Amino acid sequence: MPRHRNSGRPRAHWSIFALALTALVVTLFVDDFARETGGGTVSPGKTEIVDGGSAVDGPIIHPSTRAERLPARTVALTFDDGPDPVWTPRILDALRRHHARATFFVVGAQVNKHPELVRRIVAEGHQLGLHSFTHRDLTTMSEPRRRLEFELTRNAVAHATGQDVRLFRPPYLASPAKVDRTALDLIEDAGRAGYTTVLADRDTTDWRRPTAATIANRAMPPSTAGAIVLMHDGGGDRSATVDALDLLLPRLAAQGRVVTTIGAPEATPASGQAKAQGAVFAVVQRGAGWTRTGMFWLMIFATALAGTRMAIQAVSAWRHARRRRKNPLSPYAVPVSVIVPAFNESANIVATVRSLLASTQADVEIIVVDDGSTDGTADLVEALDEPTVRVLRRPNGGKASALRAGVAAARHDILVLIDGDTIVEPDTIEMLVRSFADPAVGAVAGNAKVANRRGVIGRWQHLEYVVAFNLDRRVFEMADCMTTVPGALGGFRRAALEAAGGVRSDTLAEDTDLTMAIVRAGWRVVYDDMACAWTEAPGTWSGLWRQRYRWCYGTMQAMWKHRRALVEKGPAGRFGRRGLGYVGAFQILQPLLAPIIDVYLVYALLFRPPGLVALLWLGLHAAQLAVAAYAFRLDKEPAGPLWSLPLLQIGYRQLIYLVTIQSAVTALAGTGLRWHASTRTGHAAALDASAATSDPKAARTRELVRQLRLGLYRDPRWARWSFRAGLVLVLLSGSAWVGGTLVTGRYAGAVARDDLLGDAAAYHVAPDGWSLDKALNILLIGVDWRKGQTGMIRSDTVMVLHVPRAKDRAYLFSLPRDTIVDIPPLPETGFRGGRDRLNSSFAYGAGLDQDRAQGGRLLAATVRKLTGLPGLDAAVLIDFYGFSDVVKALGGLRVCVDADTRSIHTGRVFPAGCRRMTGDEAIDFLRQRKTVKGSDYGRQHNQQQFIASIAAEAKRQNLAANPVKLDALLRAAGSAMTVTTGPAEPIDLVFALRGIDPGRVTMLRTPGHGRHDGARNYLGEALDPAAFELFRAVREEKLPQFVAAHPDLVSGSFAAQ
Amino acid sequence: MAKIAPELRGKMNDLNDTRRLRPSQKPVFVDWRGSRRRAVVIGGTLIGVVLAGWLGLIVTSIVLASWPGSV
Repeated sequence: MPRHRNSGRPRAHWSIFALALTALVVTLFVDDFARETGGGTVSPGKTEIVDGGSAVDGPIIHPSTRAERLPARTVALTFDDGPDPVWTPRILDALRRHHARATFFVVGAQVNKHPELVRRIVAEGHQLGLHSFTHRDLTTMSEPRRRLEFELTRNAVAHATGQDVRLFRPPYLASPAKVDRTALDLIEDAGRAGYTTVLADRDTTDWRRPTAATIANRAMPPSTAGAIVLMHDGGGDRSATVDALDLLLPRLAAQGRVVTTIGAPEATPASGQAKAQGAVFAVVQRGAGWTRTGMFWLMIFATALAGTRMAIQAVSAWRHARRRRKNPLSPYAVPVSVIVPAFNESANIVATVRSLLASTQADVEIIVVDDGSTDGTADLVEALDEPTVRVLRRPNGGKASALRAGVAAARHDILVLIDGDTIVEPDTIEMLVRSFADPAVGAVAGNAKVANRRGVIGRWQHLEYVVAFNLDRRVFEMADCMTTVPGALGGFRRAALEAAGGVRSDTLAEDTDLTMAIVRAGWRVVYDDMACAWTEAPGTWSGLWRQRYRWCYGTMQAMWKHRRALVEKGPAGRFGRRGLGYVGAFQILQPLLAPIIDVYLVYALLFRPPGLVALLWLGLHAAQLAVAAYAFRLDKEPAGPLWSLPLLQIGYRQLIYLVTIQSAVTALAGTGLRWHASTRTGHAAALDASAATSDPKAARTRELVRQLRLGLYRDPRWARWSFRAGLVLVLLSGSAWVGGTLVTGRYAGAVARDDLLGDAAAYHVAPDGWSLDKALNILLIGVDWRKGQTGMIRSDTVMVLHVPRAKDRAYLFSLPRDTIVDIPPLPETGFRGGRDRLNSSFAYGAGLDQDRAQGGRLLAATVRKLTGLPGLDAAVLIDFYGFSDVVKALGGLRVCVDADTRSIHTGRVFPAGCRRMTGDEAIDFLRQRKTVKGSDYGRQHNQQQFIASIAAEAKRQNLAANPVKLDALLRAAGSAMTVTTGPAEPIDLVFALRGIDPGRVTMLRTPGHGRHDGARNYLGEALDPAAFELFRAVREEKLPQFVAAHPDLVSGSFAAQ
Repeated sequence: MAKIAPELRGKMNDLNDTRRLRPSQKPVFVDWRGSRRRAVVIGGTLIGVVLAGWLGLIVTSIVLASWPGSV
């Protein structure tokens, strides 16, 4: 051992290890904090809107809470969520083209990522404002957290530009009209901190990605009053915003408006402290980002490493087993010397020698080398008085020295070296030596099994021996690069020992050192899995730690000692590059990376949404289980202990990599390590049934393993059938899950989703109480629009499907399209509201851009106002022309015509009576209004009938039994619809409605009458009082009573179809 | 029995061997002079200082930014 001061195992590195892990976790949290959540605006919060207060009279709210507006004919363009490396430069270019200046409300985390863009914004004369550091909702934050957001952003801007900016815009708050109580608190807080809050007069909602024309239209102020316009330069694809500027700015210039910045308060020079703090956090953020990226790639690398090892193990093991099957080894009758070095092995030595004496191999001499034992080991062996057993007594000199003495004393050329606590099977020696029939074989590794498998530590070591050690030995044999013949059980040819220079004492892993030397000397070293022996593994954590420390450090010593093999030629070079490379990558590097991976994995699984990390982790464990099961099968071990394989990740795996770190530091520091003898408990000896302290359960395990190994064992029938049944269940449920996911994904993906309800949605009005379990009101909108058609789109059909809470029936009623209604204003399009026909509301909303979602939102608001419903739960927009594909998929539809009808569009005549129509015919018939009996009311009835016919036809054809047709129908239906289901998925809504009996869907007529002026000109429809009773019945969920009182309003039911 | 010096211990055992194959060797990695250990200590100290400094940087900047009156 070295003579310098403070020699002994190094310990200080654990402090650095703990510090490194802490720094890693904190850095990951910082990176997580700095990742913004995106841009856009949301609906008003839950609290009441503050109305009419002085603080929100205008969009610019000063620290004194005095609000003001921009001067007349002044427009301030503002851009939120940047700087973005793609869109901010393009927006700056567009502004420069039109000689306009704007105000950029920047996100602090983005400023730190792209300080050069912020400097460009300032250099080109634009104004900066703060938009929080992480773009999270500041109204929900505590005071310190809010202060952090303000300060980090301010410091980031100070560092990037040298400016102290005091303009502020809160995320998720665009308009003074949407300021509620919590938002006002935030604005007042910001004011107290010296910030001027800037909201907007016109929200282009460009984050929804409408067309450039729509954005430009929304940005245009409707009057000469000054206006602040909200747009975005970050948080997503802003190409439409860029294009909109080229439309908007010339228009503003043509109207003589001045496009300018917000103005006061102007930025002032930042203090040195702010700049310094900004610089520091910019470094921290950048470092955290690099750390996360590095960790991610390290995790990918470690996963690839683990996957590669498993693949190599699986393939090599398969090839090794196949080779053994194709070339079975024959018995090899040859005299054998068994050498047993022993130091204080009184607990096991007698059982060990007895098991050797029971060997089936003829001519075996047994030499027990007592290495200075103090517990009477040598006496116990001599007391056996066996003629074939010799005892060599010597002063303690270490295991290597004892082995050298035993080898020197042995008479035969084939030597078997085993440990003093190893119990062999009767056929172990015979199995081990049969490989020596091949004169090229210099050594044979036996299959050491853990005797003390009960208890967590023993069971985990058993798993490790079978899965890791034995699989690796198969890999090494196939690659001709065996690294370790275990000291517990190994066979050697004397010539190979001599060529390797014998057993040496300069490493603590003399078995590894010896094996490497033999391979380098050109001898083949093989592994015989049938040569089994039982050995005692450490039963305590400290014992395991000491053993693995010695093994790991000893392996490192051996690897370093034989490092020249990396560049040698021939068998030595093959060993060096394959064997040392494998051990270096998978037994040294992989455990050294493991603590970092563990930290990242735990952090990602606990604090990030499940994604790639969870997938990799699960995939790796599934692969590990599969490889382990294969290893158990190859070793003919009962598969029971496999259940605890996942638990290896907690505790055992950590011990192994901590041992590797300790060994590496010990090796680097050069302090050396002493041999530490394990305390024997006699667990191995207990396998001997004749021993005084036998362990019956362990003995039964040994017998079971022997029977499995010899192919004498068969699982009980109940176990075989349970396993098969379980496998079938797993396959069925797995297939059902995969199939279900694929199917729902296929159809869910076919349906377009958009927001057709806006503020009329029930889940916006009362978000806390909303769910699909209550009574539902679903808006159905039919549009008569062909793709490519220009002009305004009007809704042709407006229906409401009311589904009571029990979900066993439904009521369907239409709203006449010409009903004169109050249509609410829609600021986005400049529509100020008014009184017009119901179907016009969709047109006003959609506008010339044919924005159907916007049309739906205005129509929904109008319907809500008309019916007094608190909110609508879902909406479906149906494209009539697309729906003809549905009819085609059904192979036609049975439609009943009340009276002869002529199509004004195609000239086709539909005679009275029921007949089967094609898709085109059905749609043509549905479009008719003027020539239909009852006019619009007649058409409503026809449309309701159309929906009923589809349901009836689908039921009649029993589509569940015809998956091909069902697939075509669902995909056709999906492509013809746009749906809004709010927080729920469309599939959830379909599932919620599955219990509706088609025979209990009642179609209701909404009573009304036409209005005419004095000249008999038609002015539209007015609803009768009974219609409003109908609406009240819907609101109060008293439709059954209403239907009973108004049977004349029942126009039919699905059951009649 | 006379006390045997550690460096000779191996050799004494070898004399008992009827066939001496190789004399015992100096253990691999062991640094008798201690120069490697000193280098490891210095390196470890530097790493520790860097890690502690990094942590301190993060904690200080967050505490300063969220301190009342820092605005």
